[in-house]
Amino acid sequence: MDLRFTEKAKVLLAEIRNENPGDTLVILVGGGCCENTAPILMKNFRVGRGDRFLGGVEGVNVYASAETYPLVSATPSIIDVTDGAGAGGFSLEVRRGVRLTLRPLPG
Amino acid sequence: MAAVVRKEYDQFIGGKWVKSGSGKTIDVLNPATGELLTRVAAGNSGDIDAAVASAREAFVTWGKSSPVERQGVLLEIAERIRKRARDYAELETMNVGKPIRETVNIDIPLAIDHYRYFAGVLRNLQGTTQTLDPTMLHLTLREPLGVVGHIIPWNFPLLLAAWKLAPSLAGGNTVVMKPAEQTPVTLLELANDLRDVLPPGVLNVVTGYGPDAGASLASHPGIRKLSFTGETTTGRLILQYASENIVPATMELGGKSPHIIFQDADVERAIEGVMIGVFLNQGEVCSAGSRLFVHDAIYDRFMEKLVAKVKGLKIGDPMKEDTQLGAIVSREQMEKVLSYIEIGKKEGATLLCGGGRPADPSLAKGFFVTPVVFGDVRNRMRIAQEEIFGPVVSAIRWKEYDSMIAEANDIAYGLGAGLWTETLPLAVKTAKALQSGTVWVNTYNALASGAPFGGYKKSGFGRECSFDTLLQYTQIKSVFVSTAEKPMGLY
Repeated sequence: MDLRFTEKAKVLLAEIRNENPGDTLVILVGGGCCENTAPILMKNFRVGRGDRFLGGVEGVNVYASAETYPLVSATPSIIDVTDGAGAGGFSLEVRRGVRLTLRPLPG
Repeated sequence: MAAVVRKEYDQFIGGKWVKSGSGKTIDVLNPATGELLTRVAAGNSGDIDAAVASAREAFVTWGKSSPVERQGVLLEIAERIRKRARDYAELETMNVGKPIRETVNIDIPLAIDHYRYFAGVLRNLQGTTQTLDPTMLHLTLREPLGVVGHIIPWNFPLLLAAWKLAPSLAGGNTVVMKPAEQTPVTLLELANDLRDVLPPGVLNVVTGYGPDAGASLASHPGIRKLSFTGETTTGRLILQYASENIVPATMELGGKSPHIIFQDADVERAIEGVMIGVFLNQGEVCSAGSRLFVHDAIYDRFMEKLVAKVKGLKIGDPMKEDTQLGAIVSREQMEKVLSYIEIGKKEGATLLCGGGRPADPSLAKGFFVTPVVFGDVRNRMRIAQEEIFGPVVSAIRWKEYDSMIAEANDIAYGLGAGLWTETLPLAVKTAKALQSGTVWVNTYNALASGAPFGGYKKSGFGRECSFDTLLQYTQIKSVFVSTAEKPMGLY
């Protein structure tokens, strides 16, 4: 799929990558409830056999579940960073007060 | 006088307020104003260690408490909330952004009732006995598990805490809870109100970020059960942690629930049901009836009436008694909801109303989204498949029953489903055909203590709110008692 990353997202992921040497970092696109399609950045998460590769940057691979993949991959999208105050969730970047987002590319 | 929020909350561990080892705090906002409401501790793994240690120590006594004692405690918890019901409702509204009429009439009364329900049913927690042969009696004991870990979401903070805390305590367990970092206020207030009700360490509340406090709790080797309500991928992560410690877990995850309108539906009631289904709590409900299947014969008339009603919804300050739609919980969540409006339009759905920020300048700093109805939706569109968790309903026109049922079930989730018809056999047939943990017939989003709630498929497993829930917070001990008077003669 056409998956891009903003410079801000690349810098953030590189920083978190450097803080976690020796760990595997992956993003799995969330599904449902409070986070819905937000990217969830996790350490040493075991990717499942049904998960599909969407793209990658800065040593971080992005996957979607079998159900989410056909939906998300049909939309050219960009991973960005937004003000995360009050966003919550288990994604590794939330403790910095920011939140990764997945949005359709404009146009 | 409006309820008072403290300027800052520490962690509640071992019956005391304790500073977090991290020394850091998290800003908690009022989503209706975007302003700071309070600050809570940014708990870390050291805080979780202390909380679990305190809960383990408390379990030594609490785990042996009598059913009569636990019943008294649960009834007293209900009473403490009832005495401050208005305060709790206002605090929940200020913290979550949901209308005060909802917290007054739904969140708080249902939470109170939950403690009363489990106070009652815990007296029915019994084992079985059987005579296996003339000299062998067998019996089962229902025993508590130990320390249980709870991770609570932000949409119904006090109510969903009750869903987990009440059965845990009823079963004789002690608890470490991590509320959502953006909506911790009512649970922290409850912990404070129960200082003279619960022995120290029976309830511990650690606030903090998911990857810090949440992950530390979910992976802690001292935990004997996990219960999580939240997002599906996070549920998978928590299950991986649970597998490390071989502990059971209750998972209440996402949904994208079908809501089916048959051509003989009572239209007035059904329209109200649709609105309860998707605009209650701004649609931030895991069982929201956000995929609306309307029969072709009444589609145009139904949608016209629905849109007229939705346009008339009172959106605004959630503290006002007549407000029907409050604020989305955070800026990030609001932006996500708005992004789906663009996705839906690009997919070819028709935006029939809403989908922007309200014009009222007094709401500009809050996280408000005008309520959305999409028409001409097809079931494989993203707005029909992905849980938006906002005030957005996607309407699909249907003609043929079997293909409609196939589409209703063509989804990863199975949390809730609703249907409206005046034909009883059709209602029963459809309720059976839907792959869903709950089916609502001529009603929607009804919840009750005693009615099991939980998911089919990727909406999770385990059930909350019912006697089964209490059983899931216990473990079975099988006891064989021999009354033989002589050796068996084998050795």
